[in-house]
Amino acid sequence: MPVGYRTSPAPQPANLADLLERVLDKGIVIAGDIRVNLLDIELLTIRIRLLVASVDRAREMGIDWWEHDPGLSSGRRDLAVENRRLRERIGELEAAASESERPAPTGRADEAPAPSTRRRPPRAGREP
Amino acid sequence: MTHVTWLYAIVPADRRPPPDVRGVAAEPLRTLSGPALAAVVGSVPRADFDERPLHAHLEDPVWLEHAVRAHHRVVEALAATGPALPLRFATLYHDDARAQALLRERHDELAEALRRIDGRTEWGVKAYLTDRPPAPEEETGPDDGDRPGTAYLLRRRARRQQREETLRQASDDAGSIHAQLAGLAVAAALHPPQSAETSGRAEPMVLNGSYLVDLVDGKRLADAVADIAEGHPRLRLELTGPWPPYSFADPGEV
Repeated sequence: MPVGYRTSPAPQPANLADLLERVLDKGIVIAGDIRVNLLDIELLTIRIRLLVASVDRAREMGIDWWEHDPGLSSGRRDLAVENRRLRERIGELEAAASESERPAPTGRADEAPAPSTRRRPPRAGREP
Repeated sequence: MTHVTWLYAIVPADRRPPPDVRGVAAEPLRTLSGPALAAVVGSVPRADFDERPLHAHLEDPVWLEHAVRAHHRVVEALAATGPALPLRFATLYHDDARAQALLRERHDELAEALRRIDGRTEWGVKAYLTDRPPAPEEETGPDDGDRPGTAYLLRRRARRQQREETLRQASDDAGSIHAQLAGLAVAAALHPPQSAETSGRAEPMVLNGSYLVDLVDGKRLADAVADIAEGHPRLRLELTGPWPPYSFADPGEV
């Protein structure tokens, strides 16, 4: 490892807000071929707020696979499959959480069908 | 073409991609060479990264955080071992050839930007106003005995005015702190203070600055921040870094 470039040991995983305001809003700005709107600062701020809230919620539910580097884990990961499974799982857990908060359903036809109410044990680790 | 090219950073031509680090789509990293410069890139699936699917993903907070951290990991790994000019998140070209054309067309500008951050790193300093209770002598007034209601309202107003004054003072202090730290740095930049929801803290943020310093000056900056903190007991200062030089990469920003 060439000496000098790191002045201290590698920092802890960066605070998300600090990371977002640099990665999304700074760096060399080049138009590229695929148009992406990250320039709207108000939207960015809202997105950051939502992002932080949602990710914390996910963590509360024991979901944190993105904190582990896919490049270093054993076995290949299919990110698209993982994303889909993750979204399904968050959807299930959130629906289950709001089920327990809501009053008894009135049986309206336009309500989404209730998800499985099977209790899930606290997560000891990630799914294989 | 089933894939598009995601750009991570501009580096000197002889750099290799960092080993054991993958990109935003878990793809292997490559370098594209131009004259004297190279771009570290990855091929990502068009199905996820073309304009429409990408915008859908960007609305997904979990996807977004994963991708942001992955982009940062690449940039950070590069910046740890040499100069690296981060590209903003989601800089994409249809293919490598177009990304390489960028290196040719914008060579002088990119080379200058790379030179400007070479041997330098970014540190972040945030300052929060800590909430201190008013001094006991402000709690009671001379008219308390006769007109307690009025006295109560007067005290409330006095407390509010004092709060506003404290915030104003803290903002002034933040300005002078920024100037002090900028004096120690090669370059300085200000970010908007983060809202309470964003920072996750109840205390108002009064300073959110970034400072580009020579690598050897990191400790000097940290010591300066500690000294400043001692001189401003009403503020809490937080130092983050070293960061890759995100805030100083774009010539238009500096």
